[in-house]
Amino acid sequence: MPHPYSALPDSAFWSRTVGAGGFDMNSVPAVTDGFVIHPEDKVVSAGSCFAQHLARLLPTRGFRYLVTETGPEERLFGVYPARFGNVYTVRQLRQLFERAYGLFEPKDEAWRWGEVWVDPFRPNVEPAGFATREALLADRVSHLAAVRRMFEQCDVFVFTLGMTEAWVSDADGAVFPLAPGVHGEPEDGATCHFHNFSVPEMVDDLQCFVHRLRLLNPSVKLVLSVSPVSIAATYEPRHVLVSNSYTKAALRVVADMAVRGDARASYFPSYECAAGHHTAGRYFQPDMRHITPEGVHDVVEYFTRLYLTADSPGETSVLDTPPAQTTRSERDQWYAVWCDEELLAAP
Amino acid sequence: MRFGIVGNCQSRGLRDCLEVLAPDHLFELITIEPLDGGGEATLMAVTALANEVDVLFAHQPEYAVVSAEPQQALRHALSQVRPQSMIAVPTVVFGGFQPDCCVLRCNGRYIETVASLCHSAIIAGAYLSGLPAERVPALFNRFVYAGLGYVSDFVQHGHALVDSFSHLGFDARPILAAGRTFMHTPNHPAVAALFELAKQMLARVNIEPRDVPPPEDWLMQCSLQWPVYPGLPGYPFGEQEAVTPGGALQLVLGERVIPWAELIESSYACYAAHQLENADWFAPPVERAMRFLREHVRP
Repeated sequence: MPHPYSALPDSAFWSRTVGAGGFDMNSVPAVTDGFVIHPEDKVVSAGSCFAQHLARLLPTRGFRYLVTETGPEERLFGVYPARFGNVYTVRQLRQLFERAYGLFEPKDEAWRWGEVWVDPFRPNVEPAGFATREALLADRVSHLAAVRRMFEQCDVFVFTLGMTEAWVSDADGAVFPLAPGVHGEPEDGATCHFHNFSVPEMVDDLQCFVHRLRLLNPSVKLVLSVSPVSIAATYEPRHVLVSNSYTKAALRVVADMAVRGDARASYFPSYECAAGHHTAGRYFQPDMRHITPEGVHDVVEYFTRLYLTADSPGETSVLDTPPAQTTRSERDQWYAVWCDEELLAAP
Repeated sequence: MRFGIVGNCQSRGLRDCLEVLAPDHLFELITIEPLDGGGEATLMAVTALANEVDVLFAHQPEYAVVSAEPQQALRHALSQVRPQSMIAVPTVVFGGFQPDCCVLRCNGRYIETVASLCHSAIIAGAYLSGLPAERVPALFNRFVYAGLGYVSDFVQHGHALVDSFSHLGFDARPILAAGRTFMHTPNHPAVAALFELAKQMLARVNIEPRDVPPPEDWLMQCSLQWPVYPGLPGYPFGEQEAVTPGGALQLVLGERVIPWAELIESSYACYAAHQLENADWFAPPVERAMRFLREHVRP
């Protein structure tokens, strides 16, 4: 048997790439197994704060970035395709979909923040808060309509996984991006608890989300990445550095499990690109948490080089045709009832 | 020539179309649904008409009356007609535009809401899933439609219609190709569909139809009009969709407009009155909706 590694490319070996001087992630050839994004494809993104960079910069690189909810920038419209704010956890993403399609109606509708109201599911999108509860609820209706348009119209959904820790409603399991008390809290004293999601929980949530998204939008392509931005704080009784390692490792596993075997999904190594050993920390700002503009630039350039193709889409890939759900006997049932004779007694 | 038309509620619209397409000929109509009430006189009239006309156009008995006994009686009556003078015509049934509209048999009989015998599978499924009525409007969205096959089954509905026509020597493809909604409910066609069928009926008896517009849509005046939901084939307003799901939906019954909220309220009241959750009921679309909603919707 020949040495199984002997025919592998340099990229499979640490010593020939990361361990060699001057290694740059951008020099890694694109290996995307034919996964490409066409200039005509409508791209949307969601995720942790690092996802904002993609939302901001992808349109400048030739991508067609879809925005379905528009308004003044100072009210944080346009940060993402719809004004949902940062989506830190996979459960939050799953529940965003569920709330948009009437599958879940959380009991916590609005939180008090001093004299104003905040939406517990996107507490920072209205900088001054909502003046009334009614205004908040009305805005949510149009917001969720925009979220539906996003899921329905996008060709590529880019999700940056950011967090495993979250605050969960004791009443119904609703997940909030911020703990109550940070930026608003329930007026009725509703309580939450801290939860650090496990890999199986997140895999289940992501699979559920992707299954539903594909049911709705069968041809949508999925790009997953892990945010290189370190977590700001942990509620676990351990050092934030230790929690950060868990978070990144767990999210990386979740992303890997989600894209394996899925020809319409791809893992984009933004974490490796910005936080890999080869960078020796040069892409981190002095707080060792946020990514420098140069790092963001290189990640976006790499994303563009990996995925954007000048080729026209050509034939749409043939997707499995779902089996018919309506049976012949159901159609024949109509023959059995016909009309209300009173209705048809008109001359 | 003198023609007889015997059939279900669609035969009235067919007669109207035939009369404007071939005004030099005589068309006599017998709507035979009263047979279900034991219409001996109607049966005798059918037999008499069949013997008097040059050609009898007839819906197939199994698609013309509901119960087995009158079906058999009608079949027997039609069998007495000279074979060369009877032409079986298809009944237009097409659920592609209103796949959520269904009938619901409960404890052996069809139950009614404000929409008469028509039910929304989503509303019934939500009731059976234990969801409060206030949650129902939000379920009228493209995800639920997709999960229930409302979009993907459109082609299958088309195949079924083409098959039902071709089985009797007619062609439903021009109806499908017209690119507009041609059904008020899955069993009540708009006059445009009947007009096309009427032209083909005349071709079968070598009569050249006149180039005239369709007559007034009789079924539209007196039948329920079930809406085509946003996102489904045939929805007349493209990609536009109300911000509030279900908010813009409504039924039309003659001159009466029935808001969706009233349909939901009426349906829930009907199901509660019949204790649907404990009853012996049958409606495959409702069964499917119930399973889907139980899987995906959190109570």
